[in-house]
Amino acid sequence: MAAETGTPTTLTLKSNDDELFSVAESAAILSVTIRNMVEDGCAGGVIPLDNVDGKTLASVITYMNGISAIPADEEKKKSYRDKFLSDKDFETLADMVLAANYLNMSCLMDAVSAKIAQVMEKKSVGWVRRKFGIENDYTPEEEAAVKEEHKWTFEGVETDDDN
Amino acid sequence: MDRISELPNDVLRKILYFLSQKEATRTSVLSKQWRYIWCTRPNLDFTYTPPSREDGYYYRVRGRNRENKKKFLTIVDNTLQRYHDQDVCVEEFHLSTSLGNLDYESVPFLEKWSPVLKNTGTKKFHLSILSEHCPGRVELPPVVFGSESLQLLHVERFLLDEKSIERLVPLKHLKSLTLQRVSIKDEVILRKIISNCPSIEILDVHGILSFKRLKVVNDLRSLKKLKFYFDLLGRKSDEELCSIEIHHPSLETINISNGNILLNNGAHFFSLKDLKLAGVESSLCHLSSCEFPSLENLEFFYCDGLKGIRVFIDAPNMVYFEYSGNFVPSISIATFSKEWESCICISCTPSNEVPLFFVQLKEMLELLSQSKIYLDVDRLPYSNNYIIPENNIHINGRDGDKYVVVENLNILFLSYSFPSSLNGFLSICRPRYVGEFPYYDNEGDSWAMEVTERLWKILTEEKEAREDNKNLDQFKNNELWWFRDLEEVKLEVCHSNRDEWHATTLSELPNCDRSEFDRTRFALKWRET
Repeated sequence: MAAETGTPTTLTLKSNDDELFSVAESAAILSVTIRNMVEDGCAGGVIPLDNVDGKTLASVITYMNGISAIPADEEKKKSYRDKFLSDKDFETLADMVLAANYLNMSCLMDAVSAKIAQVMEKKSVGWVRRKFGIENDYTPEEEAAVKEEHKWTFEGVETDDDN
Repeated sequence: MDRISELPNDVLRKILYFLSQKEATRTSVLSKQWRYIWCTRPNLDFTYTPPSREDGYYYRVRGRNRENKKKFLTIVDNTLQRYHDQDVCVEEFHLSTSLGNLDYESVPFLEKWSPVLKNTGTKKFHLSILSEHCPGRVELPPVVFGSESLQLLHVERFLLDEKSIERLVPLKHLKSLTLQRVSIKDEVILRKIISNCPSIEILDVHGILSFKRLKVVNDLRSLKKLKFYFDLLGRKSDEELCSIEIHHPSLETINISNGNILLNNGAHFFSLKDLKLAGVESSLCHLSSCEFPSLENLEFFYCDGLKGIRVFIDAPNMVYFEYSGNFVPSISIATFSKEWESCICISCTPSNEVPLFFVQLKEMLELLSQSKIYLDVDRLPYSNNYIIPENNIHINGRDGDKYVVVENLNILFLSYSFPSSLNGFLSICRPRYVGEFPYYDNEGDSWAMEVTERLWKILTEEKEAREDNKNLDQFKNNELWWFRDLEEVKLEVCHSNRDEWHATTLSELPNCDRSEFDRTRFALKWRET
């Protein structure tokens, strides 16, 4: 469809699994990576985003549209971000944080990182290992030495397990 | 490898940024890959809390305090050293600690860290430093105001003197300066500090400031919030308050307690949203010449500076006005706001002259009649005759005036003169509600019940009696003339959790479940005049 005069410019983004997405330029330039491409005039055709899959890109675009529709009101933006991330599982958050990192979107990057950090808050080492499936490759002696080095971080810790 | 450990280090650093220092450091135990990520995150955040007085007398905890603090300082020092050795920039450094008198251990560390932070390019140094002794007993060490990287500084309970600022440098990153319960003898000290903070946004000073005048330097272009609380401890009653000169158009909040303010005539406060003045003694007449295009909240708390003057406030965007004091001021507010509130809380002194009080109060209510008015009265001078003749109330010859509608009238006292004081208020305004009386309190409910019963008697029984017997002298003399406009009276009780009001009667009231209902009020319906 031909763009009428005055209608906002639309960009076409392509995910690494060849899905195409249309998004208003004003929303897409929340990504510094995309903004640089637009400013350099490389955004004429389709913008390939080689590090982002279609599912994640769809989610990022929902966020771009949602947050750019909110006027300059930090509180409202924050509550939008909280709501946007509230139902995401860790796998999705990991995809999002990588996409935000690649697209250079600091506000999304901060929000997702904070959300992941929240999962680790006030949790024991053992709980975090299990939650994220982190394999403990220390020998017992090595682990004891690291613990001893940072002994103060285990003082007065109220966690749900002692490990 | 698991999903989280696969994330690039940049991303992991960002995640760790949002954890406390303890939690971030603890991730080193997760696995070999996590061993050193914690000490590359861009921020460090250390807090030491000294034992409080509840933990025992100071001398009993002194030894433990010294030992704990030494351990704390060593951890901070080792961590900073590690960053320095690895050449990792500490972008943000938050340190919250305490100092004892002649603290030979802490001060050298501060002396050591300050240049390290400067050299590694730290832009956000937040320092919160608390004296372990009574306010004013410990001098603030000069290193504090010599730390160039400071972005936020909170100083509590220190004495600030010439020595404290002998190494003062331009603090070009400093955005927020809080001086809590400090003592400063000379204005020059505070002025020098402020004039070295060109980017400051928040200035919050509270303490014993024994000087008479303070000029907040001109070129603070970013100053948004200004709060001064002058502690009047040890002040002689006739001593003049400190005067503070304010004129920064960037200000959004001004909050002055127990000081006088000097404003330029005709000053424009373009951004000011909040203005709170408490205990201001010098005349506030210059407020009338200022413009407050953004002002939303205006509060006066016991300001003698409003006595004997008329104040006109030009504030097109008013949301909330509050006045508390022991006299009735004359304040009018010019605004375009359609919905705004006024809360007036008057606590009279015995010197108030009763008829004049009601005439002044009526004038004040008329000036605020565009707002939703809440009127609280705590104490009135004793008099058993508050009867205001109707022709005295129509002052300035404005006959046929509509009475000012007051959303709620709350009378917080009970005395012999209660019926006649109520009479005074109902002669000058038309409250939609009278109350709210706490229905139940720990000391039993006698007070609330007594007020409710008395009001019930006055508002309903007496009204009926008067209407039945119109020959009663007072009624004939028009002394309780407001009765004729009172069409209906309903007693209501409030559900404490739901903030809902239900109609009730005096005889039903004792049957209400007191754990559910906690306040009563009277809803008054007035004849349209």
